[in-house]
Amino acid sequence: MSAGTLEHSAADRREVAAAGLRGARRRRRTRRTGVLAVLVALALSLSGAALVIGDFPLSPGQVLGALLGADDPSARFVVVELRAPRLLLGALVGVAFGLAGALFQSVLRNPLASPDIIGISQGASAGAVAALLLGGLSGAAVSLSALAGGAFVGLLLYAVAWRGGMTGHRFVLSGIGVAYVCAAVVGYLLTRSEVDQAQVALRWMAGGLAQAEWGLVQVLALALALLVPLVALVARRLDLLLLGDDQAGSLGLRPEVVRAGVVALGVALACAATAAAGPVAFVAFVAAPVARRLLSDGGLALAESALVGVVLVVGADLVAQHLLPGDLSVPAGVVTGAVGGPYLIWLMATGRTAAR
Amino acid sequence: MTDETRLVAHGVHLAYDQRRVVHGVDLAVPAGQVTVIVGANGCGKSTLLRALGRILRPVEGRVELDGRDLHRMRPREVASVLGLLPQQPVAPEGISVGDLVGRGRHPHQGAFRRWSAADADAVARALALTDTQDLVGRRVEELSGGQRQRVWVAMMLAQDPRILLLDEPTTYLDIAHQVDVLDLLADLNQQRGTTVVMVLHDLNLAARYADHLVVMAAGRLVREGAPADVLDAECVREAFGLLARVVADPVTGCPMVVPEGARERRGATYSKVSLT
Repeated sequence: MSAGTLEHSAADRREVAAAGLRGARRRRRTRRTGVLAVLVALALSLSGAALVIGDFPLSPGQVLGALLGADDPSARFVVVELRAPRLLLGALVGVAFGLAGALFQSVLRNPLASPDIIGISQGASAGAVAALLLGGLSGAAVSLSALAGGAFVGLLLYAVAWRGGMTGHRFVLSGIGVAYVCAAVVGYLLTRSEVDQAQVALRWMAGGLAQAEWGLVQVLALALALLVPLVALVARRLDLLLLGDDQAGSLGLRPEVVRAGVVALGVALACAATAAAGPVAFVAFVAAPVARRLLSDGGLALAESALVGVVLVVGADLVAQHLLPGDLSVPAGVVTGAVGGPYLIWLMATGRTAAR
Repeated sequence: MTDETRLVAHGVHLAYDQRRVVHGVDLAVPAGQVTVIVGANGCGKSTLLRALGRILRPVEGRVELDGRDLHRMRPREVASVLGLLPQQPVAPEGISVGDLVGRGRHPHQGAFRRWSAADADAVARALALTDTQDLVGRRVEELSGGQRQRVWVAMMLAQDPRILLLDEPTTYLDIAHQVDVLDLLADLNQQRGTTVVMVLHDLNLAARYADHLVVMAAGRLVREGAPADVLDAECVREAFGLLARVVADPVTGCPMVVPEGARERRGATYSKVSLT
């Protein structure tokens, strides 16, 4: 270092630093713009495909016409009443799961800390299955019950893991325990019920978009319109929390308050999405790591995670509906699960969990 | 040079859960000077530093900054005056040096205010002061231990605090890099009048760099003052339970601690060639 001091004056070094900072910022912005553009393009083309492909064949022109209000009742029905709400529901669910996963994984500094592993999704499943099988309920009542189940698990975990500050692994391990309890509840309810009812419940638990209709889309859109701005508000603070509690505290944060807020937002997003589409497997789990790997600048990559979520859910629904042969059509959650499992194995094999 | 920001601990008791670690410490940190806290492992020195940095709330007593209770001040207000570097700071995976140092600007940014020219200036200045300007675009995990420590100090400087608190800033560094980091802190203190408070393990480096040496043992402050007045054989025995001779450091004339272990007392002889 002393050599450096001798070679350059302080002003020189400052100039070098300023130039370096400008360059680094520019490179990062370019990369970010590129990643965003690719993800948006991917999401848009998948959306286009979702509107065009189907049992009722339509040309892109017909689809556009139907969306713009052309006078073709059958095309209009298929596009506006069937395909568009399903597409929008998928996109909203993708955003919610992608953000929820990103929030949990970063606030707990653990890639395993996604809502579908730490019991939030299982809690929601238990709630929904109880409503279906015990209450004989359907539709919005099932969604509300799922919401309550997930929120209950979130609160429970928070209370359990709160002691002495929330360490990531304690939260994750408690969550896995809770997930098993919820699975036991679901198993009990399923074995005690009639086969046809159990099938409805199983379908719900696979997670999918078949139930899409405009009312559901509106409710979820409203929830996200409320939650996403809050996520944007908390993002900068969460960024600092990645430096650890002591450092974040000395930079003027109240780490516990920020963490509580982030966990609450994550639970709310995961519950809202699960209530609307069931626990679509692994979307929350993979979205943020993929987005971060694309950006690789140490940031939170929240917007990118949301977009990856959209691409995953909409893409998986396309595959589930149309690309599987004949009558193999399955809920989207089955496809995401089939992709997510191998991803988990790959994650383990490459040792990424070591990243605290 | 004379910055009168006062950081004072009044009868501070500190605990983790129910376990008390520090029992009633009074300490007035001299403004504009380098204070070094030393003591045996587990004596509560890092804990005391965390309380001075508002991270840990005292169970009894209080820490005052300019006469105000530190733990009742707004965190952001404290952060614009006090910077703390923990023993093992965590860098988010993949973050660049420039971004990390930029994080230090948070106390000066509003909830919605984005990156400003003033922020860029402060970060450039911090990088230049720590001679890390050539590392801006590098990833923090690629750096050597010594470089990384400089970058963390740069982040604190970007925060622009008048008081720097550092918990063992020389851990894991070889002797050359230890001296390098301590020289950097001493320069900051001399040139900018920044108050420095740090925990160090190495008594000889502590004696050399401290204006004010604080010795702790078993959660209490046992001695404080100028190193030459404080550091003697009796003090080392009291704080560390170690027999030692204290001689004059041949380079600086500061006290230098040479341990006399149990083997020497048993009359062990050394066959290795003596330097003298």
